[in-house]
Amino acid sequence: MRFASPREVFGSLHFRLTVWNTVTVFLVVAFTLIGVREALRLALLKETDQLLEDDALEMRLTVQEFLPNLEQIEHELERKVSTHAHRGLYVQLLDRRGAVQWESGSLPPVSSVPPPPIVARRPTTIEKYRVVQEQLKDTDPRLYWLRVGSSLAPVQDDVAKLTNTMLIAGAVVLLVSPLGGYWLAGRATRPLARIIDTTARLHPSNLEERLQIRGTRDELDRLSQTVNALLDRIAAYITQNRQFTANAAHELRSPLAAIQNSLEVGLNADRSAEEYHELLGETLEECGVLRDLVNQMLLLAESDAGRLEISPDAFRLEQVAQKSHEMFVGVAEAADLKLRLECQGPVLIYGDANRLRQVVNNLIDNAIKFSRAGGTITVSVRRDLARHAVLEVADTGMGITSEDLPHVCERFYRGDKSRQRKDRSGGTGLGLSICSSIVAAHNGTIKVESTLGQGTTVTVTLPLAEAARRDEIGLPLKNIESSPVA
Amino acid sequence: MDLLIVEDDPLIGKSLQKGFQEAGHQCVWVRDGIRGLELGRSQRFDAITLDLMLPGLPGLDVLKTLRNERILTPVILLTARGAIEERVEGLTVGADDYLVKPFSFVELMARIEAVCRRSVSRPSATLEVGDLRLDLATRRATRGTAECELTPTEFSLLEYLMRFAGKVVTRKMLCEHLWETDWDGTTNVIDVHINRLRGKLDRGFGQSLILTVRGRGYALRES
Repeated sequence: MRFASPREVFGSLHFRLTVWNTVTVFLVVAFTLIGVREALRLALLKETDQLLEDDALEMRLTVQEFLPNLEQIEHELERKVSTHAHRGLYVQLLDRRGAVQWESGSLPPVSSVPPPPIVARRPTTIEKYRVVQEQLKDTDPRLYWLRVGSSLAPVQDDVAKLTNTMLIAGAVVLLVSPLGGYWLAGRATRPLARIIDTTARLHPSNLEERLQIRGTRDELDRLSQTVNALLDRIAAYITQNRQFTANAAHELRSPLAAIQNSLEVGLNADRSAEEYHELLGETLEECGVLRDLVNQMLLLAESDAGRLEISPDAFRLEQVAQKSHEMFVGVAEAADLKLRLECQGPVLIYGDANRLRQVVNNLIDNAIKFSRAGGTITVSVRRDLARHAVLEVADTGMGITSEDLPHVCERFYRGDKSRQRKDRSGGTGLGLSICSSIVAAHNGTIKVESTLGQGTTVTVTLPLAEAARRDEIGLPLKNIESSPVA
Repeated sequence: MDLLIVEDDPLIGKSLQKGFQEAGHQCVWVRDGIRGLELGRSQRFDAITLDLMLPGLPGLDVLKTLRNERILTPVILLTARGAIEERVEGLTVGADDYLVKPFSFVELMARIEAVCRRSVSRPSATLEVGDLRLDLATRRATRGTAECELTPTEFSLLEYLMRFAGKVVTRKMLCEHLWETDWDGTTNVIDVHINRLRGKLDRGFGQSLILTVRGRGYALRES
């Protein structure tokens, strides 16, 4: 078991989700509590004000009722104040200029009470008191204002109590929410962790394992499906590669074995110069087979790596077909086959003429190999309606079975197993794969159609030079303008 | 001819040297670029075969230095398959030809002779080998007194064989000469034409002029 490094832990999605969750929960709780506290404070203040205004009104009426009996007024006011002692009330009577004429015993520090004009008719906070002022009408000039104050201490006490409770609640949230967050994040990332575990276990030697699909159709399931699809493709690719390597080794072994045998036998006894000649010639022939095979495999490897050399230029496909026709017409005649060439005017394409000549050669060669004496092979080059260049090689040969047809472009695939290796005319089994690689590098397509016993038609479709110029498949296109289009 | 081989692979170097010497040429083989450059500067060679991947000094640098110093000894590059940029650069800085490994010895020899000839003489208008005569201007072929009717392909084939009379010509060389393309398939596209050519040339003669050299190609009998 390996322990995760701090960097891994703090960088993990699990950790970060936990942190975000905690921060979010904490902020929500904090804002809610602050809001509640403020609402409570305002409500309490409003209640205090209501009471204060009622008191002030009542006291003004009392004062007016008992005027001019000052003693009676003071007594009444004093009584009123003391009955509401828990609210911390105080009362002042002021003259017109604001000088205090009388005040209740429960007075706040005198310095803190500002002169009358500042105190409004509406309750105002002055230091730790809510203060309201009533004007006494038609009275003694010494008694012009009635000022009533109510302590804010009860409100503040209540708010303070709530604040304490909130701080405790906040602390609890702060402690609990990371745990909850950790648990939640764990739940959310567990499938992810499983994906990681499974993926980490995967090895090219065991390509069977796949990620579990939980059937929840969520993002993680989609991720698993995507990874599985990728694995399928990789598995197919690796299998194909393994097959290729195995086949290649097998193919290389035959000529190698032949070389080894003849050299060993040759060295076993003294021989005449003529015999040595013969022997070395045979060996050289096998070397040629090896060289061709290796070259073909290198070409395919280059193509797989996307590094197939294409030196494009504008050229006429039908001229390439003509050259190939020239090259093979002798072989075809020797095999009692008719090799026909059908061209209708120039078909200008943009690509690597040498590579495409290789394609045409391979196709004609295949057609000759799989034809019976008396047959006809038709090579035709034309433009189709969709403005493509079309090259077709059709034979009247033995055809390909429907089981073999989908595989003919696979490397080393040979339909007729009996022709494998024993008979050199079977070729390396790479011809068509090479053709499709080259055609693909030219943005073209290759199609093989066949009817068993009737013949095979291979159709190669390539972009015309104008189309290729539009799509910019490669090098400078100035050659197109300068080349003859007749 | 006096030849310089600059090649670090001991097996290839040794066999090239042996091959050239047996073909009657003087030959010096060095295994690194610095020695190659020193000897190349001496200007006593008729041609140089230069490997591109060399210890000491890369082949391209050797070539560039030689050409910068106005030393115009013909140079044939030996390159690995796929190293197209180096090859192109090599030709740009003044190589006369190149060959991709693995190559056949006769082809290298033919190319060396070709680059040397290129700088010396023009081919004549008639080729003659033994009793065989080929008029390049009128495109007529005669053996002794008998005239042979040849197709353009056969004519071209015979011309090439006659230029290399007495020497082995590979199928690859013939393919490239006839159709400007290499054919590495297993079908022998040359055989048919050779056989027809033989039929036309040897009619009435006991001995075939064109020999098949097992594993290598064909050769035209010199006398």
